[in-house]
Amino acid sequence: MTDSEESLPHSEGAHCGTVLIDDVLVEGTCEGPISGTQSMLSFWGGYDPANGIVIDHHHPLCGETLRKRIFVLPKGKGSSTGSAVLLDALVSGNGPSGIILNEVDEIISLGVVIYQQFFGHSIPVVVVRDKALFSLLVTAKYAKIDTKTRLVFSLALRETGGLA
Amino acid sequence: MNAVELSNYDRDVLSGKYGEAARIAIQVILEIARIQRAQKLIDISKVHIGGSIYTGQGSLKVIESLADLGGKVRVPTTINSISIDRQRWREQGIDEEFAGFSERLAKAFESMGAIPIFSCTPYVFPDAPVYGQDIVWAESNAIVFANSVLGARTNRHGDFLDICAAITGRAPYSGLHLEINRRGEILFEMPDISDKDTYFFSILGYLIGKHSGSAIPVIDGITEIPSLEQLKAFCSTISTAGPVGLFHMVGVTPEAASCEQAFGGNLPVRCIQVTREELENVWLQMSTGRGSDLDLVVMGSPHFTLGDCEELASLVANRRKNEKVDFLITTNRFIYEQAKDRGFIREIEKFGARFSTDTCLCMLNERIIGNAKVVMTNSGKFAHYGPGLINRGVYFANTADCVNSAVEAYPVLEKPKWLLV
Repeated sequence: MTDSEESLPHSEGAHCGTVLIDDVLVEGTCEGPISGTQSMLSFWGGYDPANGIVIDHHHPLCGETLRKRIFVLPKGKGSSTGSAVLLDALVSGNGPSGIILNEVDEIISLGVVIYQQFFGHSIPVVVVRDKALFSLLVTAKYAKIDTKTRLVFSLALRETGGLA
Repeated sequence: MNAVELSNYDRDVLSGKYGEAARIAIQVILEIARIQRAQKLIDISKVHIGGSIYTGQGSLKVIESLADLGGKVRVPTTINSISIDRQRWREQGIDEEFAGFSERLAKAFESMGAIPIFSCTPYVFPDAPVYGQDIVWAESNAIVFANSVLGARTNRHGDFLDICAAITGRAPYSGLHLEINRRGEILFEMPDISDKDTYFFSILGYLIGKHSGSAIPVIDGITEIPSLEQLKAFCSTISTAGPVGLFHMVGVTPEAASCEQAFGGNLPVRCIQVTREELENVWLQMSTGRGSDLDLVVMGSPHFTLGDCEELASLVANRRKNEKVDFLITTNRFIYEQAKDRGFIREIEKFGARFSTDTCLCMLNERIIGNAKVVMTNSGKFAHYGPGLINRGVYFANTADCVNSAVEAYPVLEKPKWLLV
């Protein structure tokens, strides 16, 4: 990851789009670079809450950080301890800044609901059900989630950049 | 946004009549009920706590807060494996600080009245859930076992909801609690395969979990009733490879006396023929070990059962593992004591293997296994998670090959009999 990818503008060659959120699982707003995948992930055993890095060797994002990223994945899988791992990542500042799913996932939502109830902070967790729109978000580079307007605004940049 | 219908009891809990811990707990449950579009909450009569593994300060703080606020369980509640072996962590060289946090987490659950069985196989304990019973169980393999093999009803709950349900006795009426959501969706047709062993069921579970996604699989063509150990292996890999909470095995599981019953009158949305070729591919994929000087063999994820102990005891009788190889088995104290009484532990320890209780293989990390480079297991669940947890490949073999490998001090992996035509 380069620094320029983390920072704003430079939207030359961008394909931007607005996607309607189907379900708001946890409310909030955020914007940032996307880490997208079509593969499900078990947070427990697949993600290290102490540094925010994907550690599942079978997962295509293995080795990448989700810290302050908008994590786009179809759904969680595997261990029910995923909620605790996500919570611990959020509490230690290594968690994603927002999550976009293709299907409702209780284990992921629960980690964030607990973050809200016990720590007074939150990140948005939303579902985009349309497979084609979801796929666009997986490959997009940068997004903004706003659960009040129920919109995800995304940019698919060729190389680097963010929202203009 | 849909509103969840509240009972008088729910309203009282929300008002704080049952204490602050219960008030927070029901709020969390109601949030999840809203997410699941549940219309109401239901009574649940058993809970298995999954969140007893220490994963960090955040989750420890949540559980200790609930205990400090006076939270007490209202229904029989058991605790999953914890991060340390309470009796042996010092001799295992576990970091004192880590052990301290793990112990505090376990204590917090115990102080709320949960029973410290410290096991990921709560279904082998007395008073297992029964057919049709609404429960809240966490721990992915136990969820699948409870739903599919016992016919009890639980969703694939995350940690925290388990303790919230235990404190309030309530859970969202959604998902697998409703009969209509328990019907099969994908049909898997089995080829004619003989000599099926536990290893086979681990691999089959992984294959089916990968294909199923969120859909409910129906497996047709298993002609002999699998053993408890085979079902345990199957449940653990089906839920490792995918988000599966329930499967039906025709002629084996209680909601699948026939294929028609398993689908509840629906037609399958997909039909998949399981082939020998694909089983062979999954078998090859699951084994990721490298290197020839074997350092460590691990077993017991999910926890070793009495049957597992008996099988291993007979395989190791009058043999001795190579000194260079460490051999670790995890189980719970309940099984350990029975296996001790039956002489299995003595036989296995004579071979040179060691047991650890309270904890399980999923707690292994680089710190614990030290310099062990070449690792082998008979657990499909650990074959999947191991590489991420200990940062090295893991050989996946059947129990007999694991024993042979420990004796020879190099990995012996024979092609399974059921793959030979």
